[in-house]
Amino acid sequence: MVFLRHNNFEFKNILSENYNIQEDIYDVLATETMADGSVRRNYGILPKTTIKIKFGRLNASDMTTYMSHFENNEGTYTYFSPKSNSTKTAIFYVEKPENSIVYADDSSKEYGEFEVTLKQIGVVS
Amino acid sequence: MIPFNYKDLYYKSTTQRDIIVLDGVNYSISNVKLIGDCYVDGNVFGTAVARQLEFTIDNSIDIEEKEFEYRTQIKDENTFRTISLGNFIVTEVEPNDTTTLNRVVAMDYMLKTNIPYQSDLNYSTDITLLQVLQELCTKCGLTLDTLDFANKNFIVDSNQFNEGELAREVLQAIAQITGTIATIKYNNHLALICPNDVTTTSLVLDKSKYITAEIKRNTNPINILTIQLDDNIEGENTTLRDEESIAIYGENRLVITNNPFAYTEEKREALITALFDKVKGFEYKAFEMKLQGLPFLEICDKIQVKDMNNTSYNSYVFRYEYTSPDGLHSYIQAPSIIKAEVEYENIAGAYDRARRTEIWVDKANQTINTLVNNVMDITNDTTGMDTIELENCLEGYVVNFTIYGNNEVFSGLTPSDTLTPSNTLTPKGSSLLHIYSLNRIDSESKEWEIGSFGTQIGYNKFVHAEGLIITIPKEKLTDRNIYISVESKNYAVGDVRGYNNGLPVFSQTFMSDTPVQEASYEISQEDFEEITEIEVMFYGCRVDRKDTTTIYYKPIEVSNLAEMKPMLTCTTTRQPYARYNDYTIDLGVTEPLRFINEVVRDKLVIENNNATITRKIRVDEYGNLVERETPLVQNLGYAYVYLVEGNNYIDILEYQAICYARWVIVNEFTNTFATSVELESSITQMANSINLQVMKKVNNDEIIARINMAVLNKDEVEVPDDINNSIIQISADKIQIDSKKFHLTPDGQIKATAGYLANWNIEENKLTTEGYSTFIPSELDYKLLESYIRGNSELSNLQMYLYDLNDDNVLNVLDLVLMRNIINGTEQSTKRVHR
Repeated sequence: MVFLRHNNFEFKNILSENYNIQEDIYDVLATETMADGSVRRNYGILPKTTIKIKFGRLNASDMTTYMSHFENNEGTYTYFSPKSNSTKTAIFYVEKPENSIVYADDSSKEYGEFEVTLKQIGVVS
Repeated sequence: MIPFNYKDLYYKSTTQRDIIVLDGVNYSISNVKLIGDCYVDGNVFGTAVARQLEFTIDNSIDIEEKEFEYRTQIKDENTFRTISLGNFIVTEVEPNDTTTLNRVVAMDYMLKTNIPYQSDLNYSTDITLLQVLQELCTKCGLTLDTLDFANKNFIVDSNQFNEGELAREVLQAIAQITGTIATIKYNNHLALICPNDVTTTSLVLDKSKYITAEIKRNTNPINILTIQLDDNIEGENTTLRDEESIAIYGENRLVITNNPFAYTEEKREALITALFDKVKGFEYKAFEMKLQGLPFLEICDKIQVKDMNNTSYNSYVFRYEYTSPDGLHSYIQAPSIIKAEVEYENIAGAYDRARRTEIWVDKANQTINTLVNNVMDITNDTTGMDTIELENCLEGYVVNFTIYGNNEVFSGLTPSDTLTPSNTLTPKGSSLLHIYSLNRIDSESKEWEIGSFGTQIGYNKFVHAEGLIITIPKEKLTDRNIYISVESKNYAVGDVRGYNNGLPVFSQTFMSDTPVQEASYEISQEDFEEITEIEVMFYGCRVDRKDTTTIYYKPIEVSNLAEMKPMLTCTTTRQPYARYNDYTIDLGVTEPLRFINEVVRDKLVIENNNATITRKIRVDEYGNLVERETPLVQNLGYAYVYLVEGNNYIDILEYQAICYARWVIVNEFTNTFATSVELESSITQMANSINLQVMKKVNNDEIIARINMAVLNKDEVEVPDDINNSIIQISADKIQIDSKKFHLTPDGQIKATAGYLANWNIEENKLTTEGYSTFIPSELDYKLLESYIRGNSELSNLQMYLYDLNDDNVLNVLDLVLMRNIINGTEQSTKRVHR
């Protein structure tokens, strides 16, 4: 089961209960309270999906590979949609992860768990 | 027609999107603003205002000057419903420096009436007002929807618009005399709408449909209609009154002034009845409402507004601004005039010829000897960023200069605790305006010495060398190489040309595609043998120098360096530009001018030599920008922008912001007639006096007739100082006064039957000295006058008169000396006082 793919690279090592997805949320462009107390909103046209993924520990080599797929600010990612029970592809803004080192010596390093947030900014035409 | 069920979609939360259809292709647009209006200068009758559409669109789409259909869409379940809001024509495309989007401004079909009006109608036949309008529509490419309106069968016996008026002005005149508003409907057709004829209420706006509603006063119903030629000409007006309404509401008049179709009494009589029937009783509730944009509401639609208590008021949509997709930022209005009395006045731009004709024909032999009233509004205006150019200025003060807020302009620098100033730190926080002009210096040819390093040309405050030609005789050249060097912040372009006794031999541009500061050119051997002289002509060279206090040399060099030969002479045959009228003013503003949107933004205005800031926005305790309920007006006091004749520039130093300026331009009448701006200025600058001037000038500054009058305000019990010190001056070639006991004839004879003249008392058939005595001052008078002059005490009006012993209307030390001499007996008093 692949939850996330980028340029044919399949992300693994996702921690249990740490593939969090919010699908089809509309941007709120304006919110106003009418004179009778009711609330009105203007929504954007494009429904947006936000994905938060936490990865487990990685060695230095895997970490380099993983990070190379989050290098650009924006990218096209394929993700699993629980709502449609299928995979979808969209353009996301990448909120870069914070990395921590668990262990390091002269020959090897091990990195701690890290979290990446992908916010949808467009559709693939 | 917009399906009614679509309207319901706007009464809840919305998802909107907008498209344009251009050459049959749909394009998405964003940040849409649609502005409709029919309320101009406190009036709706006789207006013809185009709807304006603004939006952003991808810059790959070629849209300049094109026509398109605008469609707005609203989401209904899983589909979008479309409403067409008519066709628009692009008037402005502004690229964005940081995105791939263009900002576009477009107008509806009313734009088509911005063409010179021409009529091919045969006015010797019975041409009706409707036919005039139909011909206008045909020529403008418009379809006329309204065929039935007041005065449509009025016979127009001549074309009153043949002085270059726009079709828009003719349309306005027709709308005015028919009691209607001219507007383009969503079907792109022209409609003339009389508000009184709109009987169907398009929408009831209750508190569930608006965010805020400011419900203002009721305008009183129109009950008097006057059609007049000019309010200065007595008897040239025709009036109808509704006495019954006047008894209840008082007088509320609609005044139509100088309508070109109503230029004789007969025509005014023929027009007024039908017009009065249309406008009589027109009233509405003024309001301003923020709400979800309702694009199906059009200008002049009748609506019912319900306040918080569900009380209903009838009104109209006279102004709106719809936004999309953030439709909740929209508003609609029915503005109201401030005055208690509803008075509408239109002055159509095309009345002048008709009005003057009647004065000359009908008034020539009467007591009004042709009113000299060639007053013209000859101004220009411009809007720009940062530095704006005011072209063709007439010397004088700028009429209006405005800086619009953008949250940056005049924002000060707030240093942090850890800030370490560097040498290159540019402090912000000033509010300096730099005003300068670029005008030619006095034209004359001048011999320039060429040093061993070439021609060095420089002026104090030199900024521009456009049009400079340097001529060098061949015998001054040592070889075939010409070097040009320009010390310029911008660039220089021009030609090197060779001549044989005035006949061209070669021409070489020393700039190709890109601006250069240095160039060289080698004259071919063949050309070199043929030429007798060369010319180096700069047709574009600009050296912007902010430091104008230093004499600056060597912005341009033209040399023939091969042999570094000493001292050549060349001649400049056209003169470079020089900068003068160069000064900076500090407005003393320390708080930024803020911006929420193009309606809600602060602005600084310099007008009548006074600067004011209108602050519509405040910063709340969380640092958010919030619109003030009542704008705060800050008076900065005296400030001026003085322009010299020619082109002037106004530059906001340190900041960039949108500026607007309006100024008087030099025109063919400059030396003949005063402009209305001059007239306006002379009236507004005198607080309690009126300066009436017959406007025709003999020379630049000589006025053949002038009356200066000072008047007291109603609540002024005592004569104010400035009136005490004022003068009533009547200056004219001939003056005539006719009163009961005093006459002054135009040839200078005086006839008086009473009064006082040169120590003589004028009575019926005799001059006497009876009843008057000479005022002889005492030591007490001397002390009182001395104390007054020193500023230690006041005098009564009588004392002011008596102590003015030399009758120069000023109490000063001369009167004191004269009084001392009279007390000492060395001079005699001539001051007369009635016993």
